[in-house]
Amino acid sequence: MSEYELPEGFSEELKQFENLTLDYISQRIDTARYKPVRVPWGIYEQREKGRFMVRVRLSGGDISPRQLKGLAEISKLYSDKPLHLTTRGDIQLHNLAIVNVPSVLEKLAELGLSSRGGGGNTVRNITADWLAGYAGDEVFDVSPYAGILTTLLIAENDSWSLPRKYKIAFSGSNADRAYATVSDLGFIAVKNQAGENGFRVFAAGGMGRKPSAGILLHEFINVPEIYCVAKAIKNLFNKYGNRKNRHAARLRFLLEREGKESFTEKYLGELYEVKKAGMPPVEIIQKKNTGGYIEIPQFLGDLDPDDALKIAAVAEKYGDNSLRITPFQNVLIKNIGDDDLISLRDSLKKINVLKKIRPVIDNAVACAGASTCRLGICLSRSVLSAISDALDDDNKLKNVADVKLKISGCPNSCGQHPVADIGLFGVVKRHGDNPLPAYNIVAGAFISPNGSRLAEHVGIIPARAVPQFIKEALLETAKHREKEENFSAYFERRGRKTLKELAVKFSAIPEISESSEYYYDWGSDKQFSATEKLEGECSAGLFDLIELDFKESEASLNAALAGHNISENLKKAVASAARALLITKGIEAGNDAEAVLAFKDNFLGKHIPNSGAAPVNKYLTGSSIGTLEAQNLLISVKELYLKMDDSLRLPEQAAGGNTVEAVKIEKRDFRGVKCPLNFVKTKLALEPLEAGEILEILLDDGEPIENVPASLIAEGHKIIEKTKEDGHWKVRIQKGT
Amino acid sequence: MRLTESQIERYSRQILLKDVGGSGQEKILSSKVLIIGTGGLGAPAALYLAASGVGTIGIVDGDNVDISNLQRQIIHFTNDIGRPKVVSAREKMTAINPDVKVFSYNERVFASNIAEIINGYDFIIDGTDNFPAKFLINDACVLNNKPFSHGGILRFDGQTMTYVPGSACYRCIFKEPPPKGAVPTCSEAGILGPVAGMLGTIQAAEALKYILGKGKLLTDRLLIFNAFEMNFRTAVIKKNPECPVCGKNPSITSLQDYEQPSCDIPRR
Repeated sequence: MSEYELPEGFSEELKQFENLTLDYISQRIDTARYKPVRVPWGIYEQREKGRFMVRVRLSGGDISPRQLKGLAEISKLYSDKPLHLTTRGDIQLHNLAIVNVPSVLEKLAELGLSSRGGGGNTVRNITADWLAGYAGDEVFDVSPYAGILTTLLIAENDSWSLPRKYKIAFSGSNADRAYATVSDLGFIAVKNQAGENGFRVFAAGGMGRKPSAGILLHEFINVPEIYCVAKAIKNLFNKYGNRKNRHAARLRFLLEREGKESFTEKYLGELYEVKKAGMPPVEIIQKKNTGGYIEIPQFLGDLDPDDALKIAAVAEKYGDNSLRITPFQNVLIKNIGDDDLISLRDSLKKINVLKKIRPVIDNAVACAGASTCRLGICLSRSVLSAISDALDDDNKLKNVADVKLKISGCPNSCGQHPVADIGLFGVVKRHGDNPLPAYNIVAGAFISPNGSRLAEHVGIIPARAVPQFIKEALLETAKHREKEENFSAYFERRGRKTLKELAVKFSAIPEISESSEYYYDWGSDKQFSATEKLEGECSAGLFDLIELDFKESEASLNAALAGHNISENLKKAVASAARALLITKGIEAGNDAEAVLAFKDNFLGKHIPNSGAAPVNKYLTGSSIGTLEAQNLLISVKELYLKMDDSLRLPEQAAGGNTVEAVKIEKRDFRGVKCPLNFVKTKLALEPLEAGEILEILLDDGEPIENVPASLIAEGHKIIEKTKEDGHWKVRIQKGT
Repeated sequence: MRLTESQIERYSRQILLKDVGGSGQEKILSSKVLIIGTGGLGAPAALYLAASGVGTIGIVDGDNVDISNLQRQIIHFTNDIGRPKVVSAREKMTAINPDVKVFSYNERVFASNIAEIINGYDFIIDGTDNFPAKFLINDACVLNNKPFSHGGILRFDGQTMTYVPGSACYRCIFKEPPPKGAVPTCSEAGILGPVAGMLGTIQAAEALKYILGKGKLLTDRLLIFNAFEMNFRTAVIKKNPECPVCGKNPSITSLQDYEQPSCDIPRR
C-alpha cells in the first residue's frame, strides 16, 4: 500500500495518455503537441534525444516493499540505469525508450503508483518530514497527511494545469526537516493551547532561481482543514498566477506582485468559498510507528535495482509501511523491531547493501546536472564524486558528519543548495576567451518557522577547485566548531569569514595553456562549452554570462577613461560588448576578433542600429576607437538586452510567440504537387504572412511529408501540427522571423 | 507583381534559396542590368542573367561576330559570324528566357553617349576588353552614382571588383590607363576560354546579389584569380581620398575619351 490512492477514472486518463503517446510514436502528432501533455505526466526527455525519464510520485517518500520490488523489476526490464532517488522523495526511472513508456505507466498503476504530477505545472509530489514517526522533537507523525492530501488533489483535474508547479510539504516539528517554510505551501505540526494537534501554515516560499522563504499564513489550523487550505491556495494560484512568464510564475511571484496584505486577503476569500462549498474535512489518523530505523546510503541517489530487490525482500517482514526515501536520496527501512535492529544491520552488510558509512558524503545531495538534465550547466554528480574522492580521511570528518552539502548543476535549486550548510550551484565563467565550469558557493542556511535564512553567497570558484575547497572548508569546520554548535551558528561566528577567504584562495584560474583541466568539467572529456546548454527549455545561467561580458566591457571602458592603456582597453570594451549577446543566437566566438566579426554579421543593422558600426569597423581594421563610440555601442547592446524577454529571445523573435487562437489561418492544398515544388509553393504562401501567423497546408504522404516540414524548420519556421488524414497530411506552420 | 505558375516552376531552384524566395525572385524580375560588351565576359553574364529572370537587360557592343571570338564568347554560334554581336546575343537571351526584355545598343561607349545609355539601369557590368572603356565606365558610373562590376582577364588571370556609391572605385587603385603598348592585348597575349566564363559568371552573381540586397559584395575588395595555379584571393582595397574621380578634390568632373585601345590587366 502506498500512502496515496489512485483516483477513480485514473485508468481511463492513463489510456488517453497512452493513445497520445502511440500517436507520437507513429508520428501522427509531433513533439510540440506531445510535450505539454507528457511533462505533467512526470515524463521528461533527457539530454540525450529520444530517451525519457519517468518520475514516480511517493507521498512523503513512503513506499511499500511490494512497490519497491515492482519498480526494480520495471527498471530491470526497460532501463539500463539505476533507480534514482530524488531529494523530494520520488523515484525516477531513467533512459527509457518512448515505446516502453505506456507499459511502464501501466505497471506503475498496477502497483498503485503514478507519475502524474511528476513534472510540469502541477501539484507535485507532497513531501513529509523524513523522520516522521521517529523524530524525538516531533509534535505528531505528519506522514499520513501527505498521503491523504495527495489522494484528494490528484483526483482533481485542475491540479494538472496550474500556472507553475505547486509544492507542498509537511514538517513534524520546528526543525522543519521538510522545508515547509520554503515551499509553495508548508505545514508544520504544532499543538494549540487546548493541546489539540494542528498546523502552522506557510505559503509562497520556494527555491528555484530566486529562492525565498514563505510567509506565515495561519498561526494554527486544525488537522482536518489541510485540504481546504491546500485547495484554496490552488484556486488562488489558478485564478491570479502569472501564466505568461514561466520565470515569474511560482506562487511567490504572486505574493511579490500583490504584497502580503492583498495576497492574504485574496487567499482568505478563496478559503471562504472552499469552505462554503462544503469540502470534506480530512480524517485524523493516529498512526503508530514501532521499533527503529536504518538509513541505507545510496551515493548520488542511485539505487541499483538488484539492491532494491534485496532491500524490499528484507523490509517485507516489517510490513507495508516499512520503506521511505529520504531527502538525502537514501533509503530508510523502518518499523524494525528493537530485537532486530543490530542483526538487521549485520545482515544488510552481509548482502552488501549497507556499505561503509561515510560522513558528509552519505548525506550530500546532487541534482542530475548536465549529464541528463537539459538545463544543467555543470556536471553536478561528477563534482560530488570528485569531492568524495578528495575526502580521503573519513576519521577527520566525524565531527562534521552533520554538515549538509548540496549541489545544483545550474541556478535552479533542484539540488536544494539554498537550504544547505554548504551549497554549490553551477555557472559559466570565462577566462580570456574560454568559458569554463564554475560553482557559486553558498553557505549557512538556517531553516526555522521563526524566520528562515537561506544560504548566503560566499564566493565563486572554478569547478576544478571545488573538491579541495570543500575538503579544506570541512577540516577547518571540524577544527574550530564548538561542541553542540550547529553549522549555521558556526557560520555566523566564524565560518562566513573563513569560507570567504577560502573561496578567494581557490578562485584563481590558470591560463588554458598552463592547466587545461580547468576548462574541462569533472567527468567530461570534452572542453567545456556554454553554447551546448542552449537547447534546454529555459535559459537559466546564460544571464550570468551576459552580465559578465557587460561587466568586463564597463571595466575596460572605465580603465580607458582613467587613462590606462587607452587603445587596448577600448578595443577590449568593444569586444566584450560585441560578445555579450552572441550566445543568445548560439554563437560562441573563439577570440575577440571573431566575436566582433560575428557581432557585425549578426547584430549590426539588424538588432543594433548601424550607428554602432563605427567602433566595430575600427576594431576590425585596427584603427583607433573613440571613447564615446565605444560607450555608445555598449549602451545600445545593453538596451537590446533589456528589450529581450525572459527566455532571452530578441524582440522581433519574441513576436512569434502569439497564441495559436489569436491569428487567422491561411490554407493551401499542395496535394499532387511534387518535391521540391511543394516546398517552393509553401515558401511563397508564407511570404506575405507576418511572423507568428499560421499557414495550414495539405501534403501527400511519402516524399512530401518526409521533406517539406524538415525544410521549413531549416528556414526557421515552426511546425505546430502534423496530422495524417486519409491518405495525406495536414501540416500547420507558424511563420518564423 | 505575382509569379505565374510557370515562373514558379522556372525559377523554383532559385526561390528555394532562403535568401531569394518569392520576394527575391520578384525583385530580380523587376530589375534592370546593363552589360557593356558581349564578348568573353559579357556572353556568360548575359546568358546567366537572362536565365535567372532579370527583367530588363541592356547589351552594348559595336562589333560583329568573328570566328576568333567563338572559342570563348559562348553566346555566339558559328552561323552568327559576321552578324552584329548585339543581334546574335539578343536572339540567344530571348530564346533562353522569353520573360526577359532585351535592349540592344549596336555601338561602342564614348564619353558622348555613355551617360545616356547607363541612365535607367540598376547595375552595370563592365565586360569590355580595353582600358579606355574601363576607365570611361568607371568615371561614368562614379559621376552618375551607378553601381557596377569591373572585370578584366588575360591568359590565365582574372580580376574583378564591385563598386557601389561610396566604396573604393577602379581609379582608387589604378590611377589612369597604362601607356600604350605597356600591356599586351588579348589578341597578342591569348586567353583560355573558360577563364572568361569564370569571371563573367562572378560578375553575374554580383549583379544578382546587388539586386537582392543579400550577401557580401566585392566592394572594397579586389578578387584576383589565376586559373593555371587555380588560386583565388581577395585583396582589401581602400577608398583613396586622393582619387581623381571619387576623392575629396576630384580633378575629373566630366567624362573624356582615352586614345589607346588595349586590353586587360595593368601591371602595378
